[in-house]
Amino acid sequence: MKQFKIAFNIIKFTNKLSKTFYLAIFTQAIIRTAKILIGVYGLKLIIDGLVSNDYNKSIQMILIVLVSEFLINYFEKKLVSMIDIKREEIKQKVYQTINFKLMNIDYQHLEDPYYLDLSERSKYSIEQFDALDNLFKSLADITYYILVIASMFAVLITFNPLILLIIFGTLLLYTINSRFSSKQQVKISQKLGPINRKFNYYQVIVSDVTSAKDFSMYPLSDLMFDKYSTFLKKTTKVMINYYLKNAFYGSMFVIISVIQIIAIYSLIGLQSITLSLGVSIFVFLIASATKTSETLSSFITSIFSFQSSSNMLAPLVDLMNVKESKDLYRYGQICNEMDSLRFDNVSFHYPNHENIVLKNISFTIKKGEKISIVGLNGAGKTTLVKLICRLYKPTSGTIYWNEVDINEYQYESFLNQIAAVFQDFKLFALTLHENIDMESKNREAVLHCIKQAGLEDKITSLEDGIDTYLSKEYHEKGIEMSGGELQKLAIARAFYKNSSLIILDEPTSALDPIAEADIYEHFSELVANRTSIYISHRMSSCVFSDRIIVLDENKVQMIDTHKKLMEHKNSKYYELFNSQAIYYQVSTGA
Amino acid sequence: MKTKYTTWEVFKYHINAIKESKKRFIFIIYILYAISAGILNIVTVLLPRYIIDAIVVQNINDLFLWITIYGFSILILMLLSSISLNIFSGNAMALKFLQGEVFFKKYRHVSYRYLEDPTFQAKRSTALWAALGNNDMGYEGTLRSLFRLFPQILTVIGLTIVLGLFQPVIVIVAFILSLLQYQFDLRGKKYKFNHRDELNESERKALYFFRTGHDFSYGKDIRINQIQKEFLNNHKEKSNIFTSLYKKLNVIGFRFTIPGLFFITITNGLTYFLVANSYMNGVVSIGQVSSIIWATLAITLGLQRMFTEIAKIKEDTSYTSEYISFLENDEFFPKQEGIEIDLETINIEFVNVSFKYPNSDKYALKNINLKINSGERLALVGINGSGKTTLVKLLSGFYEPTDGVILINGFDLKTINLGHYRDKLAVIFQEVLVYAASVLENIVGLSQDPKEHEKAMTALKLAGLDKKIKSFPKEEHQELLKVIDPSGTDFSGGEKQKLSIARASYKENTSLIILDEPTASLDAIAEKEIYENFKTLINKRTALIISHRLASTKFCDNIVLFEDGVILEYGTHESLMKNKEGTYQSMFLTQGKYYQEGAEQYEAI
Repeated sequence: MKQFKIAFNIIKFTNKLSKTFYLAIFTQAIIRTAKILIGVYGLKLIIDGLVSNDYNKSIQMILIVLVSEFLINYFEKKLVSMIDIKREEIKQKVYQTINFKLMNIDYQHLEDPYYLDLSERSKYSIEQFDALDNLFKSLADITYYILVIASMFAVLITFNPLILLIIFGTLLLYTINSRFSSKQQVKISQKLGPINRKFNYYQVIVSDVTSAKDFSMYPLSDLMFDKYSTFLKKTTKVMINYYLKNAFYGSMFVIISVIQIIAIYSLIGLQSITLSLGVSIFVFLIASATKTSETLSSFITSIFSFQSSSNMLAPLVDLMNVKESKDLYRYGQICNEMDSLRFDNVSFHYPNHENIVLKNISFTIKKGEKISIVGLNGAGKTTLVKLICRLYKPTSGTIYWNEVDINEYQYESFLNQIAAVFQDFKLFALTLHENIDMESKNREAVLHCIKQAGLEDKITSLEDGIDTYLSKEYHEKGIEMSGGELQKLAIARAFYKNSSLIILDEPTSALDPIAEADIYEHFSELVANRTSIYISHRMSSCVFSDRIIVLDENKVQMIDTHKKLMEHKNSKYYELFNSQAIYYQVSTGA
Repeated sequence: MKTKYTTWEVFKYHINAIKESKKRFIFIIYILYAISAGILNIVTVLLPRYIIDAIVVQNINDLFLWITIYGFSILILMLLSSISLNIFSGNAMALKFLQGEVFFKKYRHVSYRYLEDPTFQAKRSTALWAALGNNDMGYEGTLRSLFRLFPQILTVIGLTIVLGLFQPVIVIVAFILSLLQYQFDLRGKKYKFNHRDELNESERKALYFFRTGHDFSYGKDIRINQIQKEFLNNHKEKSNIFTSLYKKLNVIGFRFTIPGLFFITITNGLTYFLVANSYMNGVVSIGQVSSIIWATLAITLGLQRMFTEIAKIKEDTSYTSEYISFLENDEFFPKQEGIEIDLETINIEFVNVSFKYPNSDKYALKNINLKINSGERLALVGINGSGKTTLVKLLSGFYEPTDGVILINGFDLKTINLGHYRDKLAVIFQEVLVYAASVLENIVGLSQDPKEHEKAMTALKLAGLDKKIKSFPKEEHQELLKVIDPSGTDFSGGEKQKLSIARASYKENTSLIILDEPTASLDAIAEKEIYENFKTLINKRTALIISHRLASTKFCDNIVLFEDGVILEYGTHESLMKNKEGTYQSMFLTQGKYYQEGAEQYEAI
């Protein structure tokens, strides 16, 4: 059974996180069972006392019932509160563990749609459906029901096994009916599964600031309203139909259970009269039989809920089982500062993709060089950076750092030598300080890097300085920064890392001309004697570079200085450069 | 415009909504459920008594008679309540969805100036959550709670009458203690409510780390900067703050439930003793003993549930009240008024326009005087934050000037019908959104007209997207985004920008076109293509172009340079370049400097 395997995995995993959680759940089940027994047996005790016509005995019985009811209720509530707390603690620990795992798996998984989907579904089941909570609850319920059913069976068998026969007979009917109705449920949950995601999409669209601008200008709001409306109508129809079908199965349940009740009442009532069992036994047996059958049907329901939450958690278990990156555990040699970086016949295509992104790339970069990489969108520039950062491994060929294969180096020490600002860099909604240095240790150094990146004025204008939060997502007092400022912050983060190679991918796309020129002109100063690789659509940046690598059609077309490259009039580089330069060139006359 | 609606007013809103939805049968379902479920509770408590009495007197005929009566009555009642519950459940959801439509319809007329206001945003999310959130909260929550409440009321009343005839004391005690317990529950709830924000806040912070870890777009930065451990430590710290607060609240909440334990014991104990006494005195039979005990338990339970639902309804309706007052706020959703003027050509004049964003003391624009003639092309340049985009927002009618007026063909923009005006306006915004619909629909909207279709294709070609679209199996009918249709396409930044150019170009009957950073994420060749098509795109329209790439100013008749919200320089490219001390000239040279070097190189060859 797949669901049991999933649940087993999660129990094993969470048991490590909290030693007493499952013990508490088990104790709770015992207490709840005791409560049921008191409920069923208590009335019998009281009636026994009354029927004996002994006043003292009656009072005694009543007191026993009252005290045990009170104690059991107290402990039940206490345990509920305890388990509630523990459950929340475990959930948080699960989140942390999964997160840490995701941060340490091979990067290539992160760009694989399979893992993307896995992570989305796992997050979704946890956040939207509370699947972890539901699993814990159904586990607790199942334990409890099993205990209740076992003790009720013991009682009923000693009095009259025939009652069990009736219960099982109707249980069979129940199960058949459940099979049909659960098929409906599965169908509906498959249909409705993606609904929440779609619903969220429309909710965001309708209240988004950017789309409000579009809606005011273009015929898009009618379109979105129409789509939303159609979506709602469809969903509504599905839901109403589902409940109508459910009403049918519900009615079947009602009929079965009424037949059961009549049968049990008749059997026990008849026996009570013919065998003179006494009223208290009758009351007791009726209560036991009713509880048994109630518990059995709840048991079935909780099995369903157990199955569905287990299924929901399948992606979580899959994520837990992804192996962490092998790189982390490899003890290679310690990586020193860069003397040379050499690509030797490197080719690459993304896993699960046929298309060659880089083909037989060979070049060498020496210490202290400023290199530009140019090419059209999709020429493979960013991929090249990913290979250098060991986010992917070349399909063939080798990248050498100081003439040693980069994969031979101990992972952490190697990454310490590289700083990179990616085109799609991300910053956290934490403080500016934490963004540059997550540990918030060296304040002075952070401030220095901020100054270098040209953000000093902005920071001094802020009330909380570098302790200001970025965006309101995390902290209500957070500030929004412009694209250019964010880019500068990312650059500051890269500077902070005292690496021997620094890579900037499209670092100035969101900057205004003055800021852009500022970065260009101070770039060599900024990177000092570090080696740098610079990727930009603004061809003018090439003028600063010692050498330029021109990527076209997945190959290195040329590597040379700007001057030399401009000598080839038919080259891609010449075309790229002039397509922009032409607009500025005219001004030489002005 | 009210800010607070009472519970009754919220009920009225619900009743009207049901009437308008043409689902009046829901009222009958409510009644049907209340009666069937209410009587069912009473029957299961009262009828078994006769069966017991039949056993006591050993009368087999009576036994089967009462079992049959009992079985038959619960069959009918259970069937009725089960069916009405199912019908209700589907329709409650349907009613919520209809509210979603109401919200969406209204929200289309939202006044833009509130959209960037955080307090408005907070109100909006509460309203949205109240109306469309959780199934058993807010709008739908009230519907469901009322549904559950009515049968409980009926049960309690019925059983009270029956039991009151035997033992009025028990009923009175049960009532008083339930009320007391309700008070404690309320206090417990209030305590939790008072700490709700604190708890949510700490949970939200812990969740931020969870979400960010699951957001793979952070993967590269986390790895290259090697911050896994620090990130985890941060996450742990925030989680611990949350769990310890959760623990504290839970432990205190537990204390509020303790009195309830005593209350139940008192009610039950009293019942047991009184009934025992009555039996000993020969007043009641054994059958009645069990009936009374069951009835007491049922009343206590019924009262408990009743009060729980009432407390919940109070909470739900207060959320719904916020939702209604949000929707009815005329400031948020202004009526489309104003005059419709002739806009075949557009002349614009800014007269002494100053502007401050709401909740800000700083002027984003100050004393702007600017004339843009029909058919003129004007470039807006300046560094980030100098006021260019703000000017566009004013001109689009998203905000009104704090001082001064904007004249469109001589009419104050404030007095013009904005809907009509925007029909004559095409804007390419800096941020481009694509919508989960086909490429074609993303341009023409709902229109099925083949002529519009053709126009859209021409626009796509002009924007340079035609090749990309031909590569899809469904061509222009290809769905965008994966959220609704998993086989949808995700556009790159450059492609999105081209789509937005196509949108503006499709809107050809416009008299004014505004381009805000139209080529920011395009590569050199694509940028050049767009520039080449500018003439066709703009045609005879009045045009405003904002760009960091000063190269784009070449296409413009005049250039305005902004700095800190004021106009610093104005004139043609040539005249501004002649001003050797000017900012424009220095900006242009700074940017072009390195291209000059290259170009000279090229000329030298």
